[in-house]
Amino acid sequence: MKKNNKVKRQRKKPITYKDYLKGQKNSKIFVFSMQILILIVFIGLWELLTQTGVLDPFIFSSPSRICITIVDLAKNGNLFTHIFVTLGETVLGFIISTLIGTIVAIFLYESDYLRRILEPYVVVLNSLPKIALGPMIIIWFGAGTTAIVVMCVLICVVMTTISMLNAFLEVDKGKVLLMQTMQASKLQILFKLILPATFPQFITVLKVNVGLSWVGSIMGEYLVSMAGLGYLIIYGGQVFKLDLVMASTTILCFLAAIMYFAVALLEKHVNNKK
Amino acid sequence: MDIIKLDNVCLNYFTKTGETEALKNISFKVNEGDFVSVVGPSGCGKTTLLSAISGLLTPQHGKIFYNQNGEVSENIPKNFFGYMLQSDELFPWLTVYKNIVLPLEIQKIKTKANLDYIDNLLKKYGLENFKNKKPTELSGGMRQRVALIRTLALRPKVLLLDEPFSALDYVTRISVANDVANIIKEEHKTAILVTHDIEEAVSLSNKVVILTRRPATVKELVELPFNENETITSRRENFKLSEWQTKIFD
Repeated sequence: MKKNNKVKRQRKKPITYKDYLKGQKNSKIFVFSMQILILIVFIGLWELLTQTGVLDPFIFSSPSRICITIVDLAKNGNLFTHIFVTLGETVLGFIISTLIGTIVAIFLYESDYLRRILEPYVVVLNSLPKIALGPMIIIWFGAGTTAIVVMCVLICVVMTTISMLNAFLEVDKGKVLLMQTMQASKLQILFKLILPATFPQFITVLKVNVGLSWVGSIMGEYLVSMAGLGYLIIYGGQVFKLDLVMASTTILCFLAAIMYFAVALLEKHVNNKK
Repeated sequence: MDIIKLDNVCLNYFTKTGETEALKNISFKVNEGDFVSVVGPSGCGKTTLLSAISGLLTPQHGKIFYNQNGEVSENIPKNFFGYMLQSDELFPWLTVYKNIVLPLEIQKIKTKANLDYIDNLLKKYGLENFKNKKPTELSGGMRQRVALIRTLALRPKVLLLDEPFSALDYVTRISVANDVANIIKEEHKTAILVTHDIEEAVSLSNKVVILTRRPATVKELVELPFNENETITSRRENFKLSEWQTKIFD
């Protein structure tokens, strides 16, 4: 017989509730510190490599040059104009596409016929690269803000419809049956069961739409605009001002993050209210 | 006085592969105050029968009559039925109280009298202190009691119970089934229970409708009146289940 009595698993020390709370707090601090550290190392390394000439600052820009460009843009008053133009288009596209997408999903959910009739069209629209519609949108809506908002809406709306429709269809059939046994109308089933039950999926759609609506507005600005962050990026690329491209991209990152956190705040607020 | 009368009810299902007979010539009566259990082999059409009675499905042949205060009609009177499903189906985003009030909101009859009735039920059945809790904070048995009070909120004449205890574990099932049956008796309601649990059927009810395999026909209707000193618990102990099992599944 093998003598393996010596190999014993060491039991962990028991912990108190105070230790548990401390552990939770420490792990939170650790994660946050690591997130900040990654950012600092990335920015520091980038700056160092461009300062020492390993990377060409003309091609790769650098954090300090990005800061100078942003300050310059702010000084001559153009920065906020560009930010507000893009932000306006994005928020408008985000709201319109979420509303239209959800309303279409409601109609498709309520009518089995409509769902079956429109299914192939929805599938084709979803797989179609929306940028391909760019020239048509410019001709139909003009080379201006409307065309950009339409582009933004087109990118988000089909995804919103498909996601919300799937969420509606996945609502527990037993609960729908229960509402029917209470003689609830279709509208009551929608407002008292379907919409509240699918709120978590709705928030997920909003979070995805935050990203997609930025894609839509920037893509639209690439095509037609005379102002906005997308315009700055395309202009910077054309005249080889990589500092301008990087500065605009950095601002975009911040704005997208703010919009995402706004949705997360809404989620928290509604959940608390529940 | 019979409150529901089924007369030669036949109901078929249509699928791409053909027509399936679910119910065939079902006839029986339910008297006011009856606790009727419908038993039969799995998949024989018990739930279909309940759906036909409640009006969720319409039979191809035969008639179902409903008696509301002496007025007999084929149309289902308003709030005649209260339905309890296999799962409690409580909405997790609403509190216990809001779940119970839901049917009143749907029917737009959230009157003081109806709310007082709900408060009384909550008090009577030990749920008063849980009214502001979410359903997830309750035990399986408590959730079923909440579901029953929600069903009673509209003061239906007849309760349709579609295997409401099947999702519970054995011990909880017995206690909740007894509990629910006692509440139904105390509130003087008529009930039709669909179940595959023979012990449950014979101990809770005064009438058992035994259905055959699909297409379901009435194999036998057994009257099991409660004796004066008999309780649900004492019935559970006295009945010879094996005899019943043979009767139902042979």
